[in-house]
Amino acid sequence: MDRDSLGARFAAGEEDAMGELFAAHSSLVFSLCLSALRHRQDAEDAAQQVFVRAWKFRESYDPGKPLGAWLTGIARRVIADTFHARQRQLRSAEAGGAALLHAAPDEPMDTVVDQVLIHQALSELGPPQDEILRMAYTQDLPVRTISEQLEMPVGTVKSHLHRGLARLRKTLEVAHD
Amino acid sequence: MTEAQYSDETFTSDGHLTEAALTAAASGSSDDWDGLDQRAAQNHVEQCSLCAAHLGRTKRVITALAAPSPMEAAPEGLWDRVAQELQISSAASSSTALSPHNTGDGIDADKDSNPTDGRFSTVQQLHPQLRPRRSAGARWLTIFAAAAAGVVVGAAAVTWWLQSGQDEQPPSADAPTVVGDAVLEPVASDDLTGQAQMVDRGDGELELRVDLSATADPADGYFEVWLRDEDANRLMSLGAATAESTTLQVPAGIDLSQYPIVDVSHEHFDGDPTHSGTTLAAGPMEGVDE
Repeated sequence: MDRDSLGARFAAGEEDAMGELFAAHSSLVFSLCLSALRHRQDAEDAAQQVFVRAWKFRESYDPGKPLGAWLTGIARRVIADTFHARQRQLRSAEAGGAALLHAAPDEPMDTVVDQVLIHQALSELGPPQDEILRMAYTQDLPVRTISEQLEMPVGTVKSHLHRGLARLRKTLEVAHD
Repeated sequence: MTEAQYSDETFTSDGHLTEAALTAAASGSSDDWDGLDQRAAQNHVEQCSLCAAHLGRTKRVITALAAPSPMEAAPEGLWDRVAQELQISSAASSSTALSPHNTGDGIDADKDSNPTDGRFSTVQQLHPQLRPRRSAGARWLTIFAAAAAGVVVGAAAVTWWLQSGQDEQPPSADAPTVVGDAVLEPVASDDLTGQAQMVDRGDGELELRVDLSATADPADGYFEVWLRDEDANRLMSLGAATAESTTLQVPAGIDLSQYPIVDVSHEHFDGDPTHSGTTLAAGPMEGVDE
């Protein structure tokens, strides 16, 4: 195991590693919380809790496993706690705001996690694969249209689609909770 | 340039589905099956758990891609709140976490940070004994707690105010007398030190003469001198100080026993008269021996 890796230094309690971990994963964690909770302040508070718990439980983190997946697991639990709190608020007289609208997730948590992980991985794919995948699946354009717009042979477009999907699929293979 | 190698095969050489076949099966579009054997592929999936798993994940990828991107940057200030709750140095990260500028050199280090959060990202590498005490309360209070933790107010420091307070007969008019002395040790600063002397001007007026080790004013701001108690429940500004030497009026009629600590802060030109939360150096005022 690489003692110098971010995960190893973090588990060992290095404060600089905590800072680096935050810098590397703050968007992932915050996006998860915002997508699930649909309320910006709740999402900020939840994201803060995720990182606080990560530091407190750093000794339970296995540096051989991906940090993003570990943090995602913590985020799921913090988000679930937030929904429970909203449900309790609904039962009391003081419900308001987010509790009234969203006492339960709009979508299953698994769907939310998939969306965040895949879109983050998509942005890391780089051109031309990221653009081709967006055109094919987010914009729903047929291969022929993509081929014309990018002035790229159909076979090349298909190749990029398949390789890109395979890479994104690997993100899900690594990330299971 | 040659076209990328694209072969219309349904199966790989070891008998599993190709990416082309998985994509076609996942997308549900009949166009995608062009040149591929859809029936053979579907039969295979029913018997092969590996390809079934790959197919399931490929469907999840396509479903996720169909939704708009949910990615957002974390809000400014989130790291500072995390660092503060964990009592670790805020300098360990920021949006410029790995930037060479953010190496904690004291006064100048806040130039990269969000102006509205400058008061917290300027707290640099506090020594362990000076780390803010855990507090759920106002953020600036924990910064002062850090300063106070390193500043011991002994009995002598408290009682001298009682001895040389407002009730005493002032000395003769033309003999200014040093009645108190404070050594200022670095708190948030790496190296700022100083000395503050409480001087009775002889006409009933008190003034504080502050000497700082700095040779220049701080970047993006100025030094301000405060009298306060250990927890900063009481806080009184005496005014701005320059590098090296400044003399400041001390207001009459104040119970100075309640403000035993001299605090030098780093302030910014932000129109905010309150303490920034960054105590560069501080020390307890102690009575001068008669």
